[in-house]
Amino acid sequence: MMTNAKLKKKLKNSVDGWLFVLPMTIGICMFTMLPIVQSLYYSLFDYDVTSKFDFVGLGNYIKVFTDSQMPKIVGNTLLFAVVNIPAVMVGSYLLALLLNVQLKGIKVFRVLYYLPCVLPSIVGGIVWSYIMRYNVETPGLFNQFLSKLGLPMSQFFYAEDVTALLSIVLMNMWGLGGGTIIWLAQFKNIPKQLYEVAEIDGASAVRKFFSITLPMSTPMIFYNIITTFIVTLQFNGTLTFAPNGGLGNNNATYTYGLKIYHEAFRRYNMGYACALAWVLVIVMGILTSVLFMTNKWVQYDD
Amino acid sequence: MKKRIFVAVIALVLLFCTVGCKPNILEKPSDEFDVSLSVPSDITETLTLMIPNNDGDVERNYIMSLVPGFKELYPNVTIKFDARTISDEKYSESVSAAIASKNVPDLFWTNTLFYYYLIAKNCVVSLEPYYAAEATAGTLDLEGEYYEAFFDMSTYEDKRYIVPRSMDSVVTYYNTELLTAAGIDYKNDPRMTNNWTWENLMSLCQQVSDFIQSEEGKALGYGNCYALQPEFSWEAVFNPVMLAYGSEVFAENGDVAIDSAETLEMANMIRGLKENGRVLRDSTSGSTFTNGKVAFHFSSSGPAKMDLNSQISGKFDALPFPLIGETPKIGCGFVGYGISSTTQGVKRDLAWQFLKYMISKKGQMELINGGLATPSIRVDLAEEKEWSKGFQNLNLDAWLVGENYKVCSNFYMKHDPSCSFDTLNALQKFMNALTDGTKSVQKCIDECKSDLQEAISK
Repeated sequence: MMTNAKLKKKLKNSVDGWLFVLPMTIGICMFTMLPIVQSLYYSLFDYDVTSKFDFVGLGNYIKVFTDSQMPKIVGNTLLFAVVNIPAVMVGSYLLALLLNVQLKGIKVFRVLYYLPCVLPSIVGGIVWSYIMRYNVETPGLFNQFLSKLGLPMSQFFYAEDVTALLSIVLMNMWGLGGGTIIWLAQFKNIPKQLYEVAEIDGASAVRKFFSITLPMSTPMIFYNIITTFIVTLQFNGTLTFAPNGGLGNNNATYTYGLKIYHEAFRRYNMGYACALAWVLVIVMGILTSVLFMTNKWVQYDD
Repeated sequence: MKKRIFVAVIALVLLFCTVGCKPNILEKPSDEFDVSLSVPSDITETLTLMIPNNDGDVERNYIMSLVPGFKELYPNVTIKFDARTISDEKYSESVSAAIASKNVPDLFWTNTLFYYYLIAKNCVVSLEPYYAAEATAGTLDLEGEYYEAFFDMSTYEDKRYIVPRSMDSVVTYYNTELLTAAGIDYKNDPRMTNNWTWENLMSLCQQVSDFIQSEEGKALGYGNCYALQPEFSWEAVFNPVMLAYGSEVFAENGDVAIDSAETLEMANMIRGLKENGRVLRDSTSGSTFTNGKVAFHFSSSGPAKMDLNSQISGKFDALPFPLIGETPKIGCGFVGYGISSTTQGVKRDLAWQFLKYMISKKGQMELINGGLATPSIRVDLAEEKEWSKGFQNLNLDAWLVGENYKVCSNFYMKHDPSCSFDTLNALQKFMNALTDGTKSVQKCIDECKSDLQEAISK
């Protein structure tokens, strides 16, 4: 047991430290912990922001699993995840390999590829809505290109089928630079001696990639899989460009993240939106745990 | 020690959430309350009005034009503005933000589309006690001096909630230069009267369409023009068209009723227009009425506002909305203010005095002088054409005739207000799909039905 005198002395000695972390602690409590707990609290209520705050217990959670829109939304979200995660992972990795070569002026390319990441997403949305515009009289850039090649125009994210989601995956390739930076940092951490030894042994470039670069990148691959997975499940970027308030035609781009936004800020079913968010947290937690349980392929040592 | 601090922080957060963060909720206001029509003239008070901040300060200027006159009555009263984004999508967000942050204005700006939200969400009080007091005192003659129908439009459960500051009515603007070029004598053509019909409009559109597609029309530079810019996705247009055809969005019991034979007939009519190349889907092609490229256009703007467009300035006139079938309808609506349910006592009485001043002859004249370009809700000022100075040579009766046919959009009142946006969205999508022409009419109807069912599934 710590005596009072010792406790006082310890507190006195650590007062500077406490003062330094106090602003951050207050910030985390106010803007992270409080909203988290508050959303859990609100998820138990029928809350419309203005006139209703009625306790419904687990009613909102039951509604998540009985909502008639859910099959379509979950289907869209899973399809988007299945296509987007590998596309982003492989795309950014290949781009990082290209940008890792020692060439004159390579830094310029690195900056160029990272530029889209510093642009506000709304600007990106507007630019891409122009590029993919489907309008017979004034087609967008891609459709002008398709027409020049004598190919039929595509509706892109104005389509009612899977084309809309695939167009968004294509659009996401624009932001590959963000993941690339992380890969490049990882490549710099691979000891050069390994490559030198491989060269002495006469290893080819392909062999060096599969035996050194790829295995040594696995911790970062694992990290990127988890973060891309979470970002993909939360995706609601279609708000800025897709028709029908982001839902797309025939709900073709209606994903889970958008459903949360739609219920919270269009329909003001704030309690239901909070329950949707918590279900997503639980699902992401379970799937992330599965990923952690199957991470034997990750090489954490040299 | 660390554990104790952690537990204490968690306990504090939980306590704060459950007790301190209980959201601000508006209780349903009582419909019966004491009112006083004699507010002391020396009262010192501030009235806050929620107004749009995305209309180029138009509403602010209107209200500012009322302030000097109102201050003559109540010199110590300050008028303050709470300007927020107001659009189909943002209105509920703006109102909710005001309530959640406990910055509730005393008077809410609203229109035909949004007032139901205010009432259903307990934001505004019934004005019946004031109307009753005024009737007893003989100080407000709604029946004799006003277009009473516009006061009745905000009726919900037999009570009126909003005082209109002006009325909107959909009219048909036409481009005199384009009609003349197409050989139509718009001054004497028997089809162009205040009793004109949809068939008259279609016949004229056909004539214009034939002209702009002719070699002569193209040679004269009218090749990229259109006959009609109908704005079918605007509820003030599609609602009367649907009703005139007997098409309903929801049945009496609230079920989706869009898949009726009447809707099919209306949809086929619109698709026919599209297929004949007479309808401009929207303004994305660069050809619009306001840039002089369209012959006919449905709008509720006043002539003064229309004249601000240099390409059409001085080259337009108007007719009423054309009558369709045996039960014609004309889209109309109001812009007005409701008193907040959180404003009580003498301040609520003061807010009423402000509204009463707004609809008085003096107040309405000040609004007109402040730029209000749509008809006054006062019969005398509307009929004297005071509301559109400088444009008296135009057919201003277009805004006033057909009072019996006028309807406002209230189909969304069959369901919770949180469904309104999605309901409207489904119908707009339906009308756009009809004029796009990429899907069959039946598919458009089926999809609209499905969208409406989704919209009302809470």
